[in-house]
Parts: sequence; structure tokens; C-alpha cells
Amino acid sequence: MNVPIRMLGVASVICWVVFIVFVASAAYSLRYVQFSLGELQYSVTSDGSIACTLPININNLGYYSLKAFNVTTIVFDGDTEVVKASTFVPRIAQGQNVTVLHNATLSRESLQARAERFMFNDFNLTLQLSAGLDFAELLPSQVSANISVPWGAPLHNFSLGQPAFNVFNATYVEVHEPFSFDNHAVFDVVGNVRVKLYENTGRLICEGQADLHAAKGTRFTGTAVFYAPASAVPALVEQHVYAEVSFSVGSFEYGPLVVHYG
Amino acid sequence: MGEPRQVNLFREVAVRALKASVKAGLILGVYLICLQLLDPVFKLIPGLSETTKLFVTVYVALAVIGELTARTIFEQIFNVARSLLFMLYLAASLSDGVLTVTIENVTLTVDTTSFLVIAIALSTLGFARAIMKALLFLSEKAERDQTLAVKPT
Repeated sequence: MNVPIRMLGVASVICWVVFIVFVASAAYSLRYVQFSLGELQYSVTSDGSIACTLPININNLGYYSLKAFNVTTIVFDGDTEVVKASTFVPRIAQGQNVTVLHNATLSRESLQARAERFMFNDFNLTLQLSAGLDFAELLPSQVSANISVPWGAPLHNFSLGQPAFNVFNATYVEVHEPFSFDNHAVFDVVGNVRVKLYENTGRLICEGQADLHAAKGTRFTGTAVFYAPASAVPALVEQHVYAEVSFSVGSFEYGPLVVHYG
Repeated sequence: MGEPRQVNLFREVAVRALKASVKAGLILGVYLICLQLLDPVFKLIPGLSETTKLFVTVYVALAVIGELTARTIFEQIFNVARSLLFMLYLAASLSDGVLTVTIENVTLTVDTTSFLVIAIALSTLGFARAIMKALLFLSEKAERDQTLAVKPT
């Protein structure tokens, strides 16, 4: 029985040595796996959605390949899920340098459903981020984080000024409707704004539009010019009017926003 | 006649004590090296340092007692206890095999189930070896006793 016991001892020692060498080399090789994040890019797509792209670079200079690399982002507005995106790379071989583009799209429908909140209010979104991979073929690991992301409204503080008017001819007056807003968004606001002026009775007085071109992080001031019948002057002077404002940014439409005077 | 026997016994105890000291020194040396290398891991996982200290203390104590009681049934008992302790420590320290560390709002989860299974499987080899050694010791002792019982006739 002495020989089997010795053999068992030898086998046990060999197995432990192989196992410890594997664990040590796996831990040591982690030092050579480099992760880096590129600059987050935003764009407004042709269908009016907002696409965010985050380039993730993985340079696997470790001794083992990485399997099932996955990144999932879920954006919540309060308790409501607004965006969910996943990126999966089945295998990153040893020595391979890979750049993965993680795309998340805030759909037009999602924007439309929360348009007023997204267009005019600054608030914080909650970003639930998780990234995982199988290291050295058999060590699944995952990092997850909850991050508060500030949302900047593209039309923050939108306001209409007092309409000014000049006599254009005997039957019409030229109405100048000033408006302004702060673009707090991470993208430029390019499009136009349509303003309809109504008497308080609901009768349409006039309508007009103005172009919008507000670079991100700037205040925009513009004036919509339109022509109203002279008969509407008393209502304009006494401010017995209200305006309906509609926005068209890219292919995204919002409106009407009703603004009362006086 | 009595003096050389006493000297032999003293020499044997001294050799066992020396062996036990060397063994304890080696285990503590390995522990201290691991402590240095894995310091960030110990800092990340709360309670791991304390449980490891306790485990090493008990393991060294069993190794020393096992060495001091060499060539007796107690050596085998302590060897079995030591290998069993190692298995239990592995199972207890990694619990379900999923290590979760939270730093501020970032959570790191590592699923060490595969490693745990391999380590426990390997420690089972050590446990089996200790049991086999105990059985061998008992069978050899029984054989010796039988021989001694048969000799006078």
C-alpha cells in the first residue's frame, strides 16, 4: 500500500503545482490586458433617433484569450427604461488588439414619448453599466456600475418675448416674435421653429417660422417674422393672444407647445 | 541500559521538534510571501485576512502536533484533520464560488466556481492520501501486534 500512497502524493503535488502555476500566470497576465475607452460620440440619425457610440479598445497582451466579452448599458429615467444596448465579442485571442463600438440609440419613439421632459428640462439619467468576460477560458468576471448621467435639454429655458409689430400696409402688420433658449444638449440643434398666433377665442391670426442653429452649450436668440391682419392689432396690443410653437430638429418633430401671453 | 534509552528518546523528541519547527517555518514563510503578493486581494475582500490568519494558525498547529506525534495513531488523526481543514477552508472562504466586491458604486463579480471545484478536487486527493496512510498505519500496527502475540508460542 506504500507505493499507491506515494504515487497519490506525487500526483497530488504535480496537480497542485500545475494548478498554482496556472492561477499565478492567469493573475499575472491580467496586468497585460489593457482596456481603454474612446471619446463618446453622439449623432442624430435620419429617423430622428439619437445614437451614442462608445469605442472600447481591448489590447490582449496577456497569456490567455478572453471569451464572451460583453457590455450592456441600460439607461433609466427614474424607474423607466429608456435605452438598452448590448455588445458582444465571442473571443479576443491572445495578442489581439480589438476596438469594439458600443452603440446605444435613444429611439425617436422614446424621445417622442418623453419629448417635453427631454426637450426643455435638465435632469439626471441613471446609467446601469455592466461589462463581463471569461478570463483564461474559465474565470467569468463582471464589473457593473450605476452612474448618474446628466441630460442637457436642447431647448432649455425656451421663451417667447413680447411680439413687436410694424405697420406693413393698410391691411397687414409685420409681427416680430423674438424667442430664445439655451442648448444644454451634447449636440447642435439645427432645424426650424414654427409659431402660430391665435386670438384667445381660438381664431388663427397668423403664422410664421424661423431657422434654428444653436451650437451645443450656447444660447440661441432668434426672431420669427410673420404678417397679421390689421384687425388683429387690438388683440396683439392687449395681449389677448396665445402662441402654438412647433419644433423640427433633424427629422424629429415636437409640438405644439402652447405659450400664453400676459 | 536506562541512560542510552533516555538519550535516544531525547534525541528523537529533539529531531521531531526540529522537523516540526522547520515545517511550521516553511508554512509561515509561504503564508507571508502570499500575504505580500495578494495584499490587494486581501484588502478588497473583507474578512478574508482574518479567516486566512485563523486557518494558517490552526493548520500550523496541526502540522506541528502531527510531527511531534510522528509514528503514532495521533499523527494520522492530525494529518486527516489537517487535510479536512484545508478542504473546509476552501469551501468556506469562497462560499458559493462567487466573489463580489463593491467599491463605491462599482461592483466587481468574479465567478471562481471552476477554480473552487478544481482546488477542492485536488484537496480531496490529499484527504484520500491521509486516510490511506491512517489505514496503512492501523493495518501495520495490527500485523505487528499479531506477530508479537504469536512469537511467545
